[in-house]
Amino acid sequence: MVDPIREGVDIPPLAVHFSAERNGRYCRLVNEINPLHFDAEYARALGYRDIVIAGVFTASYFPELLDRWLGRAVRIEKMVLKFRVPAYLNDTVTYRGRVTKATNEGAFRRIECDLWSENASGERLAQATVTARVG
Amino acid sequence: MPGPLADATERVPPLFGRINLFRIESGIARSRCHAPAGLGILPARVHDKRKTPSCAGSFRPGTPITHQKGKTKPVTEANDLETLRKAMEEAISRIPVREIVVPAARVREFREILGRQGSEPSAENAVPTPEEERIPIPESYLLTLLAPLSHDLFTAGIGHLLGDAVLGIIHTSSVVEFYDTLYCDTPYRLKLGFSGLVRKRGRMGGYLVGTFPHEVYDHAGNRVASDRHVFFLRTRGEIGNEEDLHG
Repeated sequence: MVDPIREGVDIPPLAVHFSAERNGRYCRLVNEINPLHFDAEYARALGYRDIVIAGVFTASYFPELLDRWLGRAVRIEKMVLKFRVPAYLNDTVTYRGRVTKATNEGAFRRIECDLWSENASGERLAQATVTARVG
Repeated sequence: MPGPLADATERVPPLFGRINLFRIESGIARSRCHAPAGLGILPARVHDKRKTPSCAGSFRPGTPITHQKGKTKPVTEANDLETLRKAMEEAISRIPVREIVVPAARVREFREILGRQGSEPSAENAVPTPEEERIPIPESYLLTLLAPLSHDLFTAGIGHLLGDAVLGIIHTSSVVEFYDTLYCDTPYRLKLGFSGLVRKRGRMGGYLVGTFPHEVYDHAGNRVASDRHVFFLRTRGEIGNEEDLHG
């Protein structure tokens, strides 16, 4: 049987549509105060093409990607996030990842993964380097 | 040579004037701008047990912070990055530590927003042991849990120092570390720090790059999670001296 958690394995992708409804619910949840995340006119005046989805919101899907793949067996220890290009309102963003290292450490395994998000044009929006314990 | 974006940037109203459009003092934010449907009135955070920061109660919607009674001129007018850095450090040190409890219902709502309809955080746990009966906060929620610290930073913290100089705030990177599992319905303390400010210049104009550690402590004082949060603050014109350009 092939080990599903091994170096080089691709993590099943997760596609997320950042609709106005989803973004609005999130803004309400956090009492968002930055108009960049809900005021299209303000965002455009700053040079963005539309409302920018908050980085903390889009980044929430990186742990979610691992959680949907491995369930509660995975515990993230460290995540280094870099936001390169914004995700905009009504973008569909696909989260992808690959295991770059997997080592056995006693009762559990430690994995390192490169995760990234991309828009419908295939442009990379954000990336995360994650270290996690499995098991 | 300024391009079309620079012209557009000059037309942007100052960010902290915009933030003043919200009724922060009441815990209810009401947008007077062009918010999408359903965003007109944001609910109060009933879970937040933090004392109101001293200056938050003085905000008046529609009035630039720099023009409010009792406020000093923004430090940015001094065009001195070191002075601004020191003033920011002092202002951030005065922000009270937040005490929070995250209700399970709030985590459930967050997971629903992510697309996990009707799922409980512990649903995968078929036979819970007593320890596991405590509902863990998913790691995906940490940045959301820490979001109030960023709000403090720009409302009660450094907003009045920056005045009209900052046009926009952009979260550019984070280093997130988990030292222990966080649980719902458990008290935690959120602490905001400040570890650096430099000036940079990009295609779209000038920036201040600020690093603001966000930390979570349990009731015993153990650090359970942290986020080294970096913001780019898009500025109107230059702030700081020439020698800071490549800081």
